[in-house]
Amino acid sequence: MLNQGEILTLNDNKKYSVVFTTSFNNKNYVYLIEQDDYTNTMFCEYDNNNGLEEVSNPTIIEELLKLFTQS
Amino acid sequence: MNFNQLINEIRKRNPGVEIRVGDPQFDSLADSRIFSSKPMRQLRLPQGYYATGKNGITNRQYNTETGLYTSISVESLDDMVVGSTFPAVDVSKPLETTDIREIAIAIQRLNPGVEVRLANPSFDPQADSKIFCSVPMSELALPTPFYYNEKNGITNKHNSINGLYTSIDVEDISKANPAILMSTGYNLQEEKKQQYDIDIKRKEQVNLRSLEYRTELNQYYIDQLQKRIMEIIHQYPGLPSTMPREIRKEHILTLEMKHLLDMGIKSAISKPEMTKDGLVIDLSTKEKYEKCSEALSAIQKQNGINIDKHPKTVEEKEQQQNQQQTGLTTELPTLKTEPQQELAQIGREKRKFTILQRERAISDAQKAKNRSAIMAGLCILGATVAVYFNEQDINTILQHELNAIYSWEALGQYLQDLGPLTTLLAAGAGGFIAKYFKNSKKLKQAQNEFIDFNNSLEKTNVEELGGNENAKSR
Repeated sequence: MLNQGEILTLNDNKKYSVVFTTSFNNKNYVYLIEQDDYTNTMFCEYDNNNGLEEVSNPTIIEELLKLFTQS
Repeated sequence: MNFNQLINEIRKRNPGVEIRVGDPQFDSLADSRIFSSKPMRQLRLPQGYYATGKNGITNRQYNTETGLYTSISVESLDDMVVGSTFPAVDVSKPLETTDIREIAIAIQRLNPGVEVRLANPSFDPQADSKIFCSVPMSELALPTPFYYNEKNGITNKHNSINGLYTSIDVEDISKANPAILMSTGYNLQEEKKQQYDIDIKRKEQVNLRSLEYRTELNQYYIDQLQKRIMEIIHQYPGLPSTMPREIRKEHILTLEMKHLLDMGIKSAISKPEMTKDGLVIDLSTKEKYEKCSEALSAIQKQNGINIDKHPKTVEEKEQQQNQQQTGLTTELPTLKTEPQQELAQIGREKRKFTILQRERAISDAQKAKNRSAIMAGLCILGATVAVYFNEQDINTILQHELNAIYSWEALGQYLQDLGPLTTLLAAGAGGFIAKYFKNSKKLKQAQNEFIDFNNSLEKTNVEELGGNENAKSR
């Protein structure tokens, strides 16, 4: 499980800070921001086996935003 | 009414005005333009025809039922290149001459693939009544009012206005003694080049001159960009941070392009400059426009989007329809109307990441950088929530997006310049950030949470490292 405040180096060779983590429908999600480019942010689904996958489904993003407001 | 009929009608209605057609051998637009001694808008036109800056003389508006129409452009007679090489010969009107060289040049013009030579008078006493050609006389196109018969060869007998006439024999050039052959002095390529140069210059002038028309084109492109912005907004409501990155990149560039065009058009009134794609903006915006345009085209292509910069002509639309019917279309569909499996698959692959390294910030510099990034991330997320759930209208959202795009960079720089969160708060940066975003309450909550988190993080780090103060400072 990833935690807020961790620094991740991804395979695009960029460093991201974990801003926010949450769970939804038994899946783990993180919100990342690139340390050197604040316009590069993304919600990702996180899985120990499959790594990270950026979320592109607007419905899931909406749910994640709701969870952020409730956190 | 076809091209020639229309010209005859215009001539009839405008006695005293010289109206001429270019020589088709070196004027590639000869079948779609005329040269007039009077400006186009002063010409009297047949019923149903009118003059516009865009289409020239046309009946386009009055033929909406069939869709077929005629249009011809009108150039100044001064811009017409006529026989600029010696001697001047214009085959667009009847040739009143008995000079062998002028007639040979006229034949050369009308038969561009044919070799035409004169005989050198120093060696041939009949040089003023014969020419040498690479094709038989019967196959030659002749200038008005010349004709061919077996008795007189090429002649204008009985057809000349002043009664003077000539008769010319045509001999096979392949059988002639090369020593007696002589050039006509005619240079077709040179004349073509001259007309081409004039056309290019004229086109540039006309394009810049007709700013009104160009502004219409600009507006068309702006509308297309706006349409795409709305399409994305409807698909991904909220700030760009909710969009997949490739769409976000396209979205940001689209907004920037629209912004550049808006600015460029306003300034272009005094200093118009034309872009490579035929839009008119001012000089200072042109360079930015070219760069943005290139980047936008690349990302649009990647996203399977093709946005028209100019409205399609009737011919282009017909061609596109035909291509679609025959399945030969090269047009890229938009993501929304026709999602492509392949593109979606590529997009999915691009959205997968592997974690190469997980770490905690250890050094002060790392911590400061990490804090700033998390702070900015919380602000952006807070702002996203504020916009997303405040039920604001699309235009307000757009304005927020614009603010966010331009303020992210400023915000990031500001945060990096100021450094640690404590300095930020001491400097009242919370207020600075909050003024960009409406949801300041959420922001404050986030800030407080972050302070708690930050304290716990530092504590955790020390504990993880066994409470070693030396290690903490590493």
